[in-house]
Amino acid sequence: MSVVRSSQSYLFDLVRSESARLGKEVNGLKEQAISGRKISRPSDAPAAMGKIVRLREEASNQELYKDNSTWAQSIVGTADTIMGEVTNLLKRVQEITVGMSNDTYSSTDRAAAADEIDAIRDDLIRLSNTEIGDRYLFSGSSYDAPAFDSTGTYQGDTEIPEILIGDDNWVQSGWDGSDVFQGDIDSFQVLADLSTALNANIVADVRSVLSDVDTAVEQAISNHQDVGWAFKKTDDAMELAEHLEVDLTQHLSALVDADPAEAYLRLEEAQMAYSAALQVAAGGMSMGLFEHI
Amino acid sequence: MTSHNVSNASTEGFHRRSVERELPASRLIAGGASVGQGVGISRIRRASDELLGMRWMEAQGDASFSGAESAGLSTVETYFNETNQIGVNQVVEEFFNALGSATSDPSDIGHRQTLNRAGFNLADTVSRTATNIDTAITDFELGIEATTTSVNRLTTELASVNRAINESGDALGAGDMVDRRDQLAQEIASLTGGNISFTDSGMANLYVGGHALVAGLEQRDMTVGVDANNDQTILIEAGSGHLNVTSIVGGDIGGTNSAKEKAVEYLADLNTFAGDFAVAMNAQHNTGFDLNGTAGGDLFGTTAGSEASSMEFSQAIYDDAKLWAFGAAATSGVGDDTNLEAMINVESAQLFSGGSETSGQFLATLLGSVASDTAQSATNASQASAHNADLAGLMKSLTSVDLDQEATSLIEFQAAYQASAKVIRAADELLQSLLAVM
Repeated sequence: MSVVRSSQSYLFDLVRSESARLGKEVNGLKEQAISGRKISRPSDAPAAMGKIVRLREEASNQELYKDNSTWAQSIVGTADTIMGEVTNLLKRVQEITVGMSNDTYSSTDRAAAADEIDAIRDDLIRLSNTEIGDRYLFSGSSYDAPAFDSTGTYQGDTEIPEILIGDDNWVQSGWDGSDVFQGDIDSFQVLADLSTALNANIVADVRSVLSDVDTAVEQAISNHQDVGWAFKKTDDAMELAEHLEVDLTQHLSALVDADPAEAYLRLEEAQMAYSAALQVAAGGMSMGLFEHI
Repeated sequence: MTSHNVSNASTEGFHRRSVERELPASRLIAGGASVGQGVGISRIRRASDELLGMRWMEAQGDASFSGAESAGLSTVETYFNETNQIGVNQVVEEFFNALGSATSDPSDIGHRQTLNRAGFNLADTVSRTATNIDTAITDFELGIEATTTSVNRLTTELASVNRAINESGDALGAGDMVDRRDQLAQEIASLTGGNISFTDSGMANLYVGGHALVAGLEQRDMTVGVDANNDQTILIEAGSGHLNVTSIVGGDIGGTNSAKEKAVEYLADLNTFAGDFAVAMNAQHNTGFDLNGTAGGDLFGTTAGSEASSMEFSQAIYDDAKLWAFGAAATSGVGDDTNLEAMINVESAQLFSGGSETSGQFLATLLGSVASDTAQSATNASQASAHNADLAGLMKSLTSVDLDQEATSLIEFQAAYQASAKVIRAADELLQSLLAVM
């Protein structure tokens, strides 16, 4: 704009509008420096708002996934330990069965072996009723009650509860005991049959149970492997959530947070310009020639 | 005249005056010679530029429109300000997080109570946001109505000033009434975005979208009404009826109306979200069974037409967290989370915008619209304000008082006056000398 005359009214308007503009700029920078945010309202960065909302949601999701993964690790980790013990117990049963299939053992030996098998069966039922907190691991979704009674009869259901540990990523947080211990073969029944055969001191019967024991061991090993995979899945989910949370928070911070040093320097610069403008304005607001008449 | 100019150096709307001098006809004396008659005043000129004035008026209307729209949208934006406060996006996210958290133990009452709080917060935040927007819309409408009263006061005064100018015959505009006429026109333009034309007699006609608010001595009221949808309309009286100028009115009223219309759109989107979200969540929850083995009831309640502001969380479930229906069947175990998983999947279901957006995407789009509309209006306001300031500066540089110029004029007139006085004294001395020798 070319101004042909500098009237008083024009000059005062100029001072008013320019000081208001500079004052607004200073206030905006003060807001950034005080709040630590370069985006104080959505309209500060309309194009980035979608990204900011998405990043914040994703970061918040990672917090959930970490919490859930921590709990899942406790459950799956406990199940892993239990399945390891079950496998070891059944392997011991396998050893006993193989040994007692030998004709050289006496009825006394087999009776003693039967006692050990009975003890192992009790252990197996005890392990199948393992709980973490008040939650029975092998009762399916009816985890508020023990999975098996003392006879080895399943009390739970076949529903598998799952925990959300990632985007559309779920991990088992309970197991159907009837499948784990009685799926391919009823491990409790196998041990009962073995105990009966040993107490009866009938070698042929002991030998006939051997293949069932082998199946029970394979079943335990397979289930242990499945639980191991679930544990690894939970570990991986936890690691991913931790990394993503850091990355997403960094990205979010880069978009939203102000650099304190930069904010301070820009504020200093704007304040200096503002005060200079006010000084110049104050100096120029004289009566001009009238002072010399 | 210099004194008048200096006195009004800071009077808003004052146009400086200048004296146009002329040489009066000389007087013939004996012998046929002519003698000069000194100096006369031919007219008092009022500094003005009609074309620039019209452009400034348009710029003033545009600046007021953008400024009012920007101010209005900035207010509405605060209700969506999720950068530093809890907003709808966040509470929805927290609700789904609470559902996700409940998968760690669906039977746990603590998780269920957390869900109750998340559900309550979601409904409460949506309702509060909608109520705030609704209040803003009402405020905009009341503001428009109040502004029309100001417009009518100003147009009445303009018609009155027109009458005074017409009666004075001061078409060239040296009188103070013309300053007032232009100032009133400028103020009306700022409120309505109207434009102006002048009659030969110096009266101002003022139009909004081609419809006269002031036509010479006649003034027409601007009023508000409601249309068939009960939406506010802005009217100009015309004969026995009214002309609807809602879509064409500019200035402060037009800008406020524009902000209101955008707020109405945001509210409609929020209603869509609340209604569809409630329907989807309720439908899914209804298919599940609670810890008592009873089919799930509705989680959210809404009222058709005001889904967002009426949204509320089920009081029955809030009072008894066992009523969350996560199980697939009445006989499900306490940890059955079949329906809980299905409820979580509602988050990723594309239920909105014709099946192309999830609830999160729909809300992010709404937030993006609010952000970009507000930012765009702020940019427009800044540009329009700068353009208006430029034209105002140009206009004022041409028409308002420059004290240095007035000081120079004063010195010039003073010098001429002093010189004339000396001429008179010399003539007097000559006359005295002549009389002395007689």
